[in-house]
Amino acid sequence: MKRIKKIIILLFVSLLHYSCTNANAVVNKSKSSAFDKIDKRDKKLFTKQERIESYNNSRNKLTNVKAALKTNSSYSGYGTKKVEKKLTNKKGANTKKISRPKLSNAEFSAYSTN
Amino acid sequence: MKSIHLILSLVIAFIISCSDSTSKNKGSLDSSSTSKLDGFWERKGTIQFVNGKPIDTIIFGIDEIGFRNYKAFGDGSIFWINNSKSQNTPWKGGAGGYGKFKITNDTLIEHMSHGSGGFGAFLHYLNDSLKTSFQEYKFGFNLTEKNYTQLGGNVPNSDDVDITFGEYYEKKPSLRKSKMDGVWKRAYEITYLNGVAIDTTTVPSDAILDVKIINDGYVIVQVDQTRMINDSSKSEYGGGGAFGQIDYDDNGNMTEYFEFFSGQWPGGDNPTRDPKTAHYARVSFYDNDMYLQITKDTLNQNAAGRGVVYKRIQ
Repeated sequence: MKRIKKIIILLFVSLLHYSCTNANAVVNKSKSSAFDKIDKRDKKLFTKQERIESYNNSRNKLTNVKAALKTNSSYSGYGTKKVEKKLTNKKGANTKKISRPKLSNAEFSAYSTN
Repeated sequence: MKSIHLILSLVIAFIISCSDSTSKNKGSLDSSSTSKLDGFWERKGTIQFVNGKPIDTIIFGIDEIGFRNYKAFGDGSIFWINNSKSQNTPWKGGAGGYGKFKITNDTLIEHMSHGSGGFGAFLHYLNDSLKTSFQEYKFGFNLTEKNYTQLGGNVPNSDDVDITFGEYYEKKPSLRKSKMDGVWKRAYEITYLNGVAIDTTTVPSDAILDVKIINDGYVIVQVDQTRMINDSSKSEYGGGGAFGQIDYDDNGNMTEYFEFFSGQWPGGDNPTRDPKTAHYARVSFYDNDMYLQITKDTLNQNAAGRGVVYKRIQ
């Protein structure tokens, strides 16, 4: 009996977490069923981290496909020639300390972050 | 018997907690579908009040050359964006915000939940610290057919409580109406290879929120990704946004003429309706509340590309 109770509580907590994680902008229910399968598949992503990872994996697929196309652009059926990788100087992310912007009164904004 | 009581209690708790969550997500504002503020508004200047009386008006273009600030209201949503860049932030563009709003006779109540640039970072910090999902801003306002003045809020660099400032806005004239008018949120992304869809994913809107408002031929976009990047020193943390004009010809051709940007989105101030910097896209509607947008690639430079699906926000 105790075991059943535990299962019920566990199921309830999972359902509660899943149902209550929602976007801040509520969308209209579309009549189209074009994405029903995607919705069903992605409903299995319970946590925010899982949803982010799934999204990033999908974005990476595109990056990988583009990279593969670029790498193999000089492919020839008469023998492949390895394309030399071009070295690019990636500028490091700007890590300047963020401080409150100085506003003149003319640029006064109610949303000022001070 | 005890099990039935347990199940009943859990079901009741479930209903209560989720109905509460829905109201929180809507920003606790029961906004009507239309309001007298709906449309695009251009900030023209600042009015100084002393003891509640308007004393002076500073019009942009004379004292503040190049400063641009727009607000847009529609379908219960509020957007704002400016091009005010700061040397002290990692972001190249200005700032912007998105939220829900409600108006009473003399008060405008905004629940700002997301943003780009400095405002996005500021909101994320506050909401994270206070365990809230939005920040409330209340303004007094005077509205006429063509302009409105927004009173209240923080006054920087002033300790004098008798001096206040009002933001003076003028309504942008309607250029055109289109099927795309409304407030939209990016819901899915589709990866294409040589025109064939190879992957579709849901956009996790609790991590990245991409919303845009289209009305009267104008558009404001806001993308908040502070919940996904989680590192405020990265430039991507600032998200992005844009303001400009938009054309849709009802035959699936959309052109966005962005004039300036917020957050980390590249690009400076562009001339109005500049064809060289415009974004050209093919649009297909699934129904009135959902459409697919694919950037046009007339030179076939990208054999692999991405389509984005937007859903209409209530």
